[in-house]
This record gives sequence, structure tokens and C-alpha cells, in this order.
Amino acid sequence: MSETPWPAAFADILARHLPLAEGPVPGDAALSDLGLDSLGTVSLVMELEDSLDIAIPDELLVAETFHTAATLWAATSDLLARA
Amino acid sequence: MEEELASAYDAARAVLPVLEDQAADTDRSAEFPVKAVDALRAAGLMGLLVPVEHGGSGGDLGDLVAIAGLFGSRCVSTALIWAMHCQQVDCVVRFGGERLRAGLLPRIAAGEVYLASVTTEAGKGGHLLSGDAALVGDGDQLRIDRQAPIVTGGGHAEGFLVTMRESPDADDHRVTLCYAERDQLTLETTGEWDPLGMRGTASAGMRLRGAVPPHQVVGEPGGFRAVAVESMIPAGHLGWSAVWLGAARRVLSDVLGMVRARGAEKVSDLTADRLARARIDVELVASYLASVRDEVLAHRRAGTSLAGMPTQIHLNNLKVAASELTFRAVDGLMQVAGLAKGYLRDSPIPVERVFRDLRSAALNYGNDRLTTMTGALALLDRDVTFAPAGLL
Ligand SMILES: Cc1cc2nc3c(=O)[nH]c(=O)nc-3n(C[C@H](O)[C@H](O)[C@H](O)COP(=O)(O)OP(=O)(O)OC[C@H]3O[C@@H](n4cnc5c(N)ncnc54)[C@H](O)[C@@H]3O)c2cc1C
Repeated sequence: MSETPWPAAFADILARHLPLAEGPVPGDAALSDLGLDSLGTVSLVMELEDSLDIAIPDELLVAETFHTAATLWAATSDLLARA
Repeated sequence: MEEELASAYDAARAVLPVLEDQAADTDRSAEFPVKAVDALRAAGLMGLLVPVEHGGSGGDLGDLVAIAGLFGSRCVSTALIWAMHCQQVDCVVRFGGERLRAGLLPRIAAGEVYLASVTTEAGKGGHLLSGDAALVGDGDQLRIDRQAPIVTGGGHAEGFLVTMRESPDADDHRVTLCYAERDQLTLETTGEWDPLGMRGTASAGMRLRGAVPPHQVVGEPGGFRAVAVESMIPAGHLGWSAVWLGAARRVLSDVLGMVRARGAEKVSDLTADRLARARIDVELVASYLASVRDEVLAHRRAGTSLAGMPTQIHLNNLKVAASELTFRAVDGLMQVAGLAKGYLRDSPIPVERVFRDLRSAALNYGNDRLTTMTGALALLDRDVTFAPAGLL
């Protein structure tokens, strides 16, 4: 199994919102290709905030943040570090 | 303004009487307005959005809005046919490959190709971003076999933009948009077209079968979402809203003329209130349409994406608000015009026809689909962002 730089909790939440993902989500795959649409993004944000106890500020709620697992983890880990 | 564009505006004003003269007959017969569309073809107006280097007028979505409003004031069916055609053209201009653009755009500009749209599908209903019927690779061709329950002007189109699932084993969200020529297809009409309004759009169902070469794919294979977000949805919502607004504004204008013609007789407070309410609805749509138009044009000038949350919300809200408020305005004006001057088929003012036409607006891409989407997206924009000031 390949190493991922993020914890299992993040990987689990992410996988639940990617209907087309099979197995572990690679860091560089476009989340939209794995089935993340705009409504999926809404529920992903709410679950990340709820489960990881963070608040994602509106200025991070842009396409670049949700581009890949790696970009989303970069934003999330920043918020966790600051929490 | 460029010379080509200025003459497009002149041509648009010149064809208005043709649209007006056939509107009632087109509505009665529920047949495609061949004469009116031929006039648009001859006047070069089918190429409004085609770049000048490909023989068109080089117009932008602001020009689409302006001219769609003029046409909507004369014949709502013809106006919608034209606006939807321009919407398809915008997709080809922005997402077609060089070979497709060079071959197709000059023919569109010359009025030889009217482009119809095939996005709705039996199994999935109106949902734009999914597909059931799949493209099947066959040597160097892509085979199409597609049921299309509602195709505006399908019987008269020389070309079709069709959404298909990318391949038989692709997920239903991997949608490919492709261009098909009429003579690349075998077309079968399915079902009758006898609707309440928008009767001239002759939007009967069809089955399309045939094959197209891969260079006729518009955008990336499986990548229709980007075409929809950057082109088909914005051009559609702006163009349709402009058509509906033009229609409601014309009815308001006619009813004002009717009330004025009553002469010295004092206008009752009730009539005044009803006129004011219609005016408010029409003004609200006009100013919101202008605001969203400017937001889209600014993004396009800056080369930035329309996919941001606030812009998507604004484009959805425009469609929902324009469809509801223009219909409400005409409904109220029916009450002012009364039975003899408003409700009858042959009333001197086309309130009855426009009322029926505008009832379709909330269904022409279902408002329920848009509001459920917008409500969810709104949760990601707690700031409630209006058109970004920095952009305009
Ligand atoms: C004049 C006119 C011309 C058209 N021309 C074309 C054309 O050229 N090409 C083309 O492809 N299509 C065309 N259409 C089709 C149009 O764009 C819509 O796709 C179609 O009208 C939707 O049909 P629908 O209301 O049956 O389907 P749907 O949008 O699938 O809705 C079906 C039902 O589900 C409900 N519903 C949908 N979403 C939700 C939700 N989230 N929550 C609750 N309820 C929901 C709706 O209210 C409705 O009752 C045209 C339509 C009109 C009126």
C-alpha cells in the first residue's frame, strides 16, 4: 500500500464524497474526475468542518482548494495547525 | 463599434416586422417559423457570435442579450429559437477544435447552418450534466444512438450539438458534447408537438442515429461540464432571460398604450397599482440581467472562470427570477387588459399568447433543479457575495 501524507480520518471523509473513486485516492487526481460536483463539495465541506472541528473560511471555498486531494489536504492541514 | 457588429444591429431592427407579422400564425399552427428564421439567416444574424475572421459579426453575450430582447418583443418562439442557436454557437466558438471551427463557423455565419440542441434525455429528464446513451467508438468514428424528447427546431436544423455519455463503460457524469451534421444522422420524429405555449419552437421529440468523426467533439471527451459552465449555461440563461424580458416589456408597453387610449377617463388606483407592479417586475429583471451580463463579460475579458460559487449562483438566480417575474408581470397585465382586450386569442394585444409562452420559462430547464442547487451552493458563500466589485 502506498503512503499517503494525510490521516485516515481525512481519507475516509474524502472517499465518501467521491462516487467514482476506487481504492485510495491519489494525491494528484482531479477530484472532479472522481465525481466531486458542486453539491458534493457542499457536503464535503460540512463534514470536514464537523468531523475535524475546523472552520473553512469562505476565501478558501474556491475551485483551487478542491482541485486534488493534495490541494485540499494542504488547506485542511493549515487550518488544523492553526486550530 | 466594429462595422460588422453595427450592421448586425441594423439588420436585427430591419427583420422585426417579419417576426411580428408571422407570430400569431406560427402560434396557431405550432409550426416552425420558417419565414422568420429564413429572414434571420439572410440578414447574417445566425452568425452574431461568430468571430469576424470566420465571417461573422464578432458579437459577444452583451450583443446576444440586446438583440434577443428585440426579437422577444415580436415573436417569443422565433426569439428563443435564435437565442438557443446562438447559445450553441458560443459553445463551438469557445470549445470547438480548430478544424471544426474553420469548417463550421463560416457556414453558420452564412446562414447555412441552424444549430439545434440535444441535452434532455428520457431517463435522466432535464439533468444537464449527466448522460445515459453512450458514444460507441467504431474505427475512426463515434457512433450515436440517442433519444431526444424535446428538440427545438429539430425538423429544420442543419446541425445538432448532442450530449452523450463518453463511452459505454464511462460513468454517467462523463458527458461528451459532439456536433453532428444533419446528413450524418438518420432522424426519426417521435411524438407530437401540441404544447400550451412556445408553439413555434416546434420542439417535437426525435431519435438520432449516426456517426461522427472525433474532431467533431466540442471540448474534451467526457468534459462537457466545462463547456456547460463556461458557455452553454451562461449564454443560455442570459439569452433566454433577455427573450422573456423583451416579451413582458412589450406587453406592458401595449397595455400602457391601451390605457392611455381610454383618453381623459381617470385611471383607477387599482389599475395604477397593477401597472406599477408590472413595471417593478420588468425593471427588476432588466437590472439584474444587466448586472449578471456585466459579471459574465468581465470574467470573459479577464480570462477568468465562471465556475466560482457567486457567479454560478447569480446565473441560476437570473434564470429563476426572470422566468418568474416576467410571467407574473404578464399575468397581472392580463387583469388590466381584461377579457375582451387580453384573454382572447385574437385580442388586439398579444397578452394571451405571451402569457402561454412565458409559462414555459420556469420549465425550460426546470427552476426546481436550479433552486435546489442554488440553496446548497449558498451555504458555501456565507458572505453573500454580490457581483465582485473588483471585476467590474
Ligand atoms: C420551449 C422549450 C424548448 C426546449 N427545447 C429543448 C431543446 O431544444 N433541447 C433539449 O434538450 N431540451 C429542450 N427543452 C427541455 C428543457 O430544457 C428541460 O430539460 C425540460 O423542460 C425539463 O423537463 P421536465 O420538467 O419534464 O424534467 P425535469 O427537470 O427532469 O423535472 C422532472 C420533474 O422533477 C421535478 N424536479 C426536478 N429536480 C427536482 C429537485 N431537485 N427537487 C424536487 N423536484 C425536482 C420537476 O419539478 C419536475 O416535476 C425545452 C423546453 C421547453 C419548455
